[in-house]
Amino acid sequence: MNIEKIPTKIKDVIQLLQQKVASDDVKIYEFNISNKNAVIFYVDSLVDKKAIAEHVIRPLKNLIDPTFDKITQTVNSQEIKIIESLNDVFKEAFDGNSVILMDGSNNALSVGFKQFGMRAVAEPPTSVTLRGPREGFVECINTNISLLRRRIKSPELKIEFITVGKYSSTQVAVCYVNGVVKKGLPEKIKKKIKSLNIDAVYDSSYIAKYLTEHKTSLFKQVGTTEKPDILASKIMEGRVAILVDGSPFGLTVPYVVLEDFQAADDYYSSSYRATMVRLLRLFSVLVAVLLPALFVAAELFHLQLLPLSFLLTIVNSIKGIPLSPSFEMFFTLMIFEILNEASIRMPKYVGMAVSIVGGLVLGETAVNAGIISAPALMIIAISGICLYTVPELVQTFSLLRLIFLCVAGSFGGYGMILMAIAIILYLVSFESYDTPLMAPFSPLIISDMKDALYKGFLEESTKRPKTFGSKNRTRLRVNSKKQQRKDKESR
Amino acid sequence: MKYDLKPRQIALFMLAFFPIIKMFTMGKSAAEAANEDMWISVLLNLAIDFLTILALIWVDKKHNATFYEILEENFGKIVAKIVLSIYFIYFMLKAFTPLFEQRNFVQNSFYGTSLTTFSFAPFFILAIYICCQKLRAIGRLADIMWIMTLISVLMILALSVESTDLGAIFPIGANGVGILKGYGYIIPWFTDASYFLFMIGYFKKERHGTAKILWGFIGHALLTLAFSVIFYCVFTFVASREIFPLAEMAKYSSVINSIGRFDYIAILFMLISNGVAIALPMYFATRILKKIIGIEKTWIPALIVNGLQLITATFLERYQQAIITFIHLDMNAFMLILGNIIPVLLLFIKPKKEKLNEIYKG
Repeated sequence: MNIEKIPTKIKDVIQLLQQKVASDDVKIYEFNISNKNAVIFYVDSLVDKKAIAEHVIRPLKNLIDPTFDKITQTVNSQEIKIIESLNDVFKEAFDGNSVILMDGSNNALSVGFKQFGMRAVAEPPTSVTLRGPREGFVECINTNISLLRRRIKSPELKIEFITVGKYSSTQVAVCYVNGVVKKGLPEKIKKKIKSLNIDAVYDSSYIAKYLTEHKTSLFKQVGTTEKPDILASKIMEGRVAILVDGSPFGLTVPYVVLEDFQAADDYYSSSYRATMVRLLRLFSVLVAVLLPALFVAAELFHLQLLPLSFLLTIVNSIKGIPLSPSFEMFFTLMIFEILNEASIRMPKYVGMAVSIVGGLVLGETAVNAGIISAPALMIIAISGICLYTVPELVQTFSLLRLIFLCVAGSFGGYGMILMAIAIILYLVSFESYDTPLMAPFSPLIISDMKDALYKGFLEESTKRPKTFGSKNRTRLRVNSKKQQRKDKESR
Repeated sequence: MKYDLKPRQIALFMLAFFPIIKMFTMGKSAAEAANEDMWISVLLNLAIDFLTILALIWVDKKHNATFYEILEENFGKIVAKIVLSIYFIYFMLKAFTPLFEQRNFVQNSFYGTSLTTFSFAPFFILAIYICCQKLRAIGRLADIMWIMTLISVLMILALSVESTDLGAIFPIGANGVGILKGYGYIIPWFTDASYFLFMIGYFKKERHGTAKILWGFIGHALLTLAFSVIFYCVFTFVASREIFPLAEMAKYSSVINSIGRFDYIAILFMLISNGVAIALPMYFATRILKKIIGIEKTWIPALIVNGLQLITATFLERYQQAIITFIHLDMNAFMLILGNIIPVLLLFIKPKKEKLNEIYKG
């Protein structure tokens, strides 16, 4: 990229700015400092004009014998940056800063008085908690960083900015705790983000897709969260977090499948309850993915799997159904997926009506009309509900459910077994950023099992997970039993 | 040196895949020859395998090299490749019985009405995928599958206990020669040390590593032995006619009567472990063929190995029984030599001086 120098004459500067940026929202305000001409170059919609008038223009107008150093000292702002090229003038202005240029100087001063509309910090709709913090990330990267900083008040928390996007110039922040993160990982991620040559980045999912090491994989490789407390805890485990301006979703790398089975509530409630809920989530996911396929396989190939009384109920309900069991289930599943998709996209004011039409009228009528059977409808409903116990993995698991359904309809239970082996093998041999996706189950890391499906007591989690390769492993120091006894005796 | 496996993974590999393969028709074959003493035949096989594994651990410590490297270093490339070719035949033969059993089990217990070839052929797609994996992936599979094997086997055994008559195995040793006959006939289901032979040099040496491996084998041995005893005690004198006991053993339990055939859930889990277990001989045959041909791409030998097995398992249906009889009656000595004797003979090969220095330095 050519670096263009700032012309010394202010007239040339104005001409150049007007020539390069022919946009109505970009303003060039001309004024005098003593008897020298100066301009403030800014984007109207991104700056606080009142603050500029008060803290920049007014003090500068009173300045006698203006030099660049004096201007720097006079401006009342904590965000001041000296810039030397025209490219940086544009970059700073479009980033929401105001750039002061003065006749006779080929340097400029960027002053930060940003102001733009943004959402207030609120509870994120995708991860509601019963207990624990309710703050969620917003679209402004600075607010998100402040939410993170409030949780890790340590100089070891490093935040490095990278600008991505040829046109969007989106700020991406790479955050990690020095000494806790695995050596070389932040550098690897930064290198990868820097190499991204893209027109614009609108959301963190763009960066997430770019960070994935296996592009064609069905499985997630980058963790996401909308909650600063979760992001902070993941950073403290040795992960690297990535925040993107304009996105309320923070990313974390490396990712393991297990983390989506853990919820924020697990850490704020009792260990027994958390363990039970985690097991329940695993069971629900298995039910969601396998139940429709198992039912079809049982109906088509393995009737002996069904207890006699249940078999009789099914026989009665499928009597007269024109569709084959696999097609019937596929049809019901498709209707469910369509309803699901429509309910997300449709305007809220028609939501209730469509829910009634879709859920009650369609379901009830289809069963009464003899197009689909009641057990098929019930199984899809159970599967649909169970799937949302792990909301982060809904996309992957709904596709897997469809694959298993096709396999069960064609090859029966044995086909399902083969498919399950293939998926398990794929998952265990899968690594992203040198971290196995199935850790700590495979490879088996016994010390990390204390926060896997079993949620150990706080006193048990003395070490950081081995999975992420942190050299600094101690995160909690608990007095030994001997020490505790001594303390008790001394009391 | 970056190792593919850890001793823990080898131990779990033994626990996950070794017992499961012996739970289909092995029991019937052993009972045919040794009747109530079948468990002694099983014990004999297990003991010999245990000793072979012990010997191989010692070989690994002494040489710190793979089987091929030991052969090449001491006998040259040509001999090493000839020996590997014999092992290729060995693994192809070893793969046949479990494949045949699985096919029949799937047909009999799962698909009374559908075509076998159509429902069984997809297995080979999976087997090719398994064969293309590195040893590390197999180790990780073991990490996750041992629990499935353990729970499902224990569940079947626990449900079977109710109809077990332990008195059926008495008097012990009454069959005399029958025990040895039984031992010989079931050799192809054992000689599991041969898998371990192709793992030496690939696993990390660590504290308590030997103990972990041995405990893994002992765990598998206990499961196999418990299965043999319970199997005979459930079916007694009709044990020699029970082709697929897994689907039959637990069904007499009163819990099954009241809840339904939930033992099938355990069998489904077993079939997941078994799906990998029956692909293992083909996996090692692929690795050997790759070494013999000397190519980089694993999918070519994987395709050859699985293609050959697919043809035998599906198109030579008429000769399958003859092949099984041939393997179990005529090839058991061959299996014993390759599975147990050759690994033990490696103990007598001394590592070269330079190698010793290298190990010492290491």
